[in-house]
Amino acid sequence: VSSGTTLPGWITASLTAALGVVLAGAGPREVELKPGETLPAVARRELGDAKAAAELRAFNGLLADPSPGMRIRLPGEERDRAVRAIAAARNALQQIDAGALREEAAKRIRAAEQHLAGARYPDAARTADAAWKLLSSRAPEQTRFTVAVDDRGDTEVVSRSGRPVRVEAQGVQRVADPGRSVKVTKGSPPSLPAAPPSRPALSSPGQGAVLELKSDPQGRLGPVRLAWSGSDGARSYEVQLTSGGATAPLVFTSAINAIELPPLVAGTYSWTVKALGEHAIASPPAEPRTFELRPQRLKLEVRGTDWKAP
Amino acid sequence: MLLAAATAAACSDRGGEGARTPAGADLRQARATLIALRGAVTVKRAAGDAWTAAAEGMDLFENDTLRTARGASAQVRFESGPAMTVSEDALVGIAEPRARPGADPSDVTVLKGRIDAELADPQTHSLVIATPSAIVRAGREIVFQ
Repeated sequence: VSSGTTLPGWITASLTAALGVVLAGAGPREVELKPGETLPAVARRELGDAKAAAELRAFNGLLADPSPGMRIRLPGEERDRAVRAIAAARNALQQIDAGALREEAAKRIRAAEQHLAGARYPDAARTADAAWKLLSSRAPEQTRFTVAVDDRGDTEVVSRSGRPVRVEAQGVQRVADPGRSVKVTKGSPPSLPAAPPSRPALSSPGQGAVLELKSDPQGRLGPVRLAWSGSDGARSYEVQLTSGGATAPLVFTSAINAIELPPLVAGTYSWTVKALGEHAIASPPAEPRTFELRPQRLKLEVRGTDWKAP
Repeated sequence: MLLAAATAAACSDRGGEGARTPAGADLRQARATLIALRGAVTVKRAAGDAWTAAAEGMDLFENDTLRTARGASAQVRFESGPAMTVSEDALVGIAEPRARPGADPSDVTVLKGRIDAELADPQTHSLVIATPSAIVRAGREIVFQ
């Protein structure tokens, strides 16, 4: 809320009211329904939203409209938590282009709001958190970084994606761009940002190669050996292999600049390689290549015979 | 803003555990929420000495401390937007006004172990992390300290 983000009016009102409740005394409490007062009026005054009357009805287990003098229980911090979780999820929905996941996230937020309306606050918070997690995992400009502190108090910062991270110590500031790391020894200024490994170049098989290989009893073909140039600073390599119809690539890791793939079904494959440096900082991926796998054709030799019918 | 200021005033007037009402609710504004846990994760409140088991949905307040055991982890979402995953065998402080004399206010203090931080919207979110040897800043430029 303090980050300047925009929230839907009802959530802002509700959140403000929730904070008001906190300031006023917090925790579950009760109010007495005054003559002529309605449940929506209580909801507007106490929760910041007249539409929350249904929620108050559910919270109090009311089957009919309450009569004057009746004591109405008001929800406490469980509701505040649920409202905050829904606000965070709605905020993420506004700000993140989640593509195909958007509808699913919106559905979960609606479900969370239904839980809220039914005064099922833990369910509301849990469902909204799930929507938020779904959305935040797809944030394209998400800034990710790692901070690690060892037993001596030395710090290592790895900028992984998004915007650069600034590291300051002893009056010296370093900027770590994505893919770079900075180390700080206690009492010393930060190191210069370390670069990620260089980008590998694929070498074998050649672009568009057609490989005719023997099939195993399951009809899979192999072995296929992939090779690429070594990268400076690489500790290992990550190979991504995508078959024609598949959406998710197969991922393999190799300690050297080559790998023998497990048997594969016939088809066309695309592959690329990233070099992984310290802290799994990755190089840009190599220019991808494709190859085609075909079963080796059987050679049939038909010879004449001396056999004669008796 | 006024509410936040009023909350802060209420907290400073009462301070620490004294900020709790007779009903047990906390008057301070939560800085973060524990949204996922794995393994043994414990929390020490600002005004207390006891380590208590953490729970999903638990609010974290200024100067609370979070500890993960070996094999444990915790996912924390800050009220201001960012999130972090605290890896195993770590000790972190939440929103310390001054992590050490002369230091800037921080959202997190990592005393030991590793955290992986995420800013879903770095244009509006920011995160300041203090460690025993450095200050790490990410996201929106901080104009007002």
